[in-house]
Amino acid sequence: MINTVEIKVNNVSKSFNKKAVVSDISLTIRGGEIVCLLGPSGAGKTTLIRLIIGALKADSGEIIFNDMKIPNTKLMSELGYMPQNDALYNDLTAVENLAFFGRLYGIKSEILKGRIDDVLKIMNLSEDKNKLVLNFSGGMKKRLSLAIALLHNPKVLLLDEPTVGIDPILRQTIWEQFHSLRDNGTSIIVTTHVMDEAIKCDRTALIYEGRLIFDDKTEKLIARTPGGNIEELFFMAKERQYNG
Amino acid sequence: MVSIVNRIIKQIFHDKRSLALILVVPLLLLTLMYLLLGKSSYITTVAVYDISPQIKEALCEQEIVKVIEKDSTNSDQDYIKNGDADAVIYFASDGIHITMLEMDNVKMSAVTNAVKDAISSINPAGKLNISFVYGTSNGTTFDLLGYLLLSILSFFMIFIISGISFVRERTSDTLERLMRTPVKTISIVCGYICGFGFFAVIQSTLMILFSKFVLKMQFVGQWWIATVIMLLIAIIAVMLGILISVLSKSEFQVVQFIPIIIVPQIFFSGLIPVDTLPYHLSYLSHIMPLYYGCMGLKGVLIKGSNFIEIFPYIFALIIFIVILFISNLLAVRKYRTI
Repeated sequence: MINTVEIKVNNVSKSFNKKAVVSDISLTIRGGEIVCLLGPSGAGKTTLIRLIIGALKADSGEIIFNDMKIPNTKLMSELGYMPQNDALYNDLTAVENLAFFGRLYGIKSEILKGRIDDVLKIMNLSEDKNKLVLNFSGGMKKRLSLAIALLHNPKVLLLDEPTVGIDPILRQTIWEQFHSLRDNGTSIIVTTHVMDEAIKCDRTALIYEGRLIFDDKTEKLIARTPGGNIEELFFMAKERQYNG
Repeated sequence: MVSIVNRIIKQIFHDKRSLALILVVPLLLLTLMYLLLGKSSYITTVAVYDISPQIKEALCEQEIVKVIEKDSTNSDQDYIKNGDADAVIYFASDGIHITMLEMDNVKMSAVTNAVKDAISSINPAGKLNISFVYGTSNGTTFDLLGYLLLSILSFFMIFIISGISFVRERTSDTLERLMRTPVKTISIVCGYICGFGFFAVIQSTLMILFSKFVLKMQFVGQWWIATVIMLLIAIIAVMLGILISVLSKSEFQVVQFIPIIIVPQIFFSGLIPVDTLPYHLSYLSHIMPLYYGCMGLKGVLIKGSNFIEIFPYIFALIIFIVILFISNLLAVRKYRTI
């Protein structure tokens, strides 16, 4: 039984069609920490997440979970992943979607039903659980997708833009949920392109054009942006690139 | 694997259109073909002139034609173009002359059979006595080609549904999510085969029973062997669907493969007798699974072959299944870095 998972990303690079999308990124995510990958669209956040979960193979560098190098089949059941697209079966109901993924993760049927009810309650979907996903709104789909990622109580959660399109009140409860998971030792990696989300994370890694340009406690990031505007950071990064 | 099978079955049951496409549409199409190709009650009208009264009388006795006297001075061509008759016949010293509007198999065979039978009723020694090793001469086109329809319909429906369903799995990112779970690649492929196989079993059984008991298709052999062959065809269709969807980026691209993958197989399925093909094109049929399926079905339904006689075709289908299964595993594994 693994209690907490520390993820080390060591000098990882990945290019598509000779265009570098992730260049030489090194990053450590400690067990029980929420790290935010912050960057504009196209910065390479999703690619980095897909490298960490093992959906992509890095061109160079390595990613280590505790002391196991990925990809590794043993780690799969410790990972919870929410892709940017909803990744749901539209012609199944919410419960059927959850039950399907639950069984693939090998959750025993006597526990599964309770777990499904739990995550549905967290995501405020209990009333709609027997509706076909086809009839869900964008926000509901997002919540169901998140519920699937939480279902098997993973030790590591990788969430690609998890709260886009979710209303502010529910977003608040979802973040409370993330914090309580963190306090129980879950490592969480969240990507976002807005500062509002970043301030709820313990640490922020700023990614711009495939490079890691800042990686520290979120308070320090806020201190460096006097206007509280994240875009300033990107301008600063751009300037630095031109100057040297 | 069971959870994937379970999921596919639930998905299809929730999507009433897909369910109808698998279970109802083939039966409707079979019925339509039965009506189109079955016994026609059409009476062909024949206009005659310059004919001996004896032959005319014999021709009048033929039930498939209605004989009238050509009483106009129009040319034969114009007479037919006017719609006064389907055929004009006159007798001359160099033989019997028949003019018809166009090559129309139904009308042409009615006219030639009537003339043939009329002449042989006067001169019995000239009668043609044709018999067939398989089937009878009074079978309809539907009896003759019905088996093709069974396999083509089943192949086509299952190919479309499994191909689209797998390409959706990719475009909606559910495949990526699936690949992040501890499920084995082989379970995904087997799950797909069994999930759609479930519907293929129902579909083939329905189609066979429907053609046997409702449409009264000529059915010499055992129906369960026919069902087994149709099931094998459907399994090939599922795996071909997965393979094609790996090469496609959208549902539309799956549809684009139909003219390349499906249509030639229909040409080589036996619709055109393969042994009469020019340029050694008949060799091409050996790379087409539908050819073996159709030949096997023909054996069972028309020739009444038993399982041992059909086995070579079944064996060929199994070889296709093994090849496709391995390529499916390799193709799906591409989505996993482990």
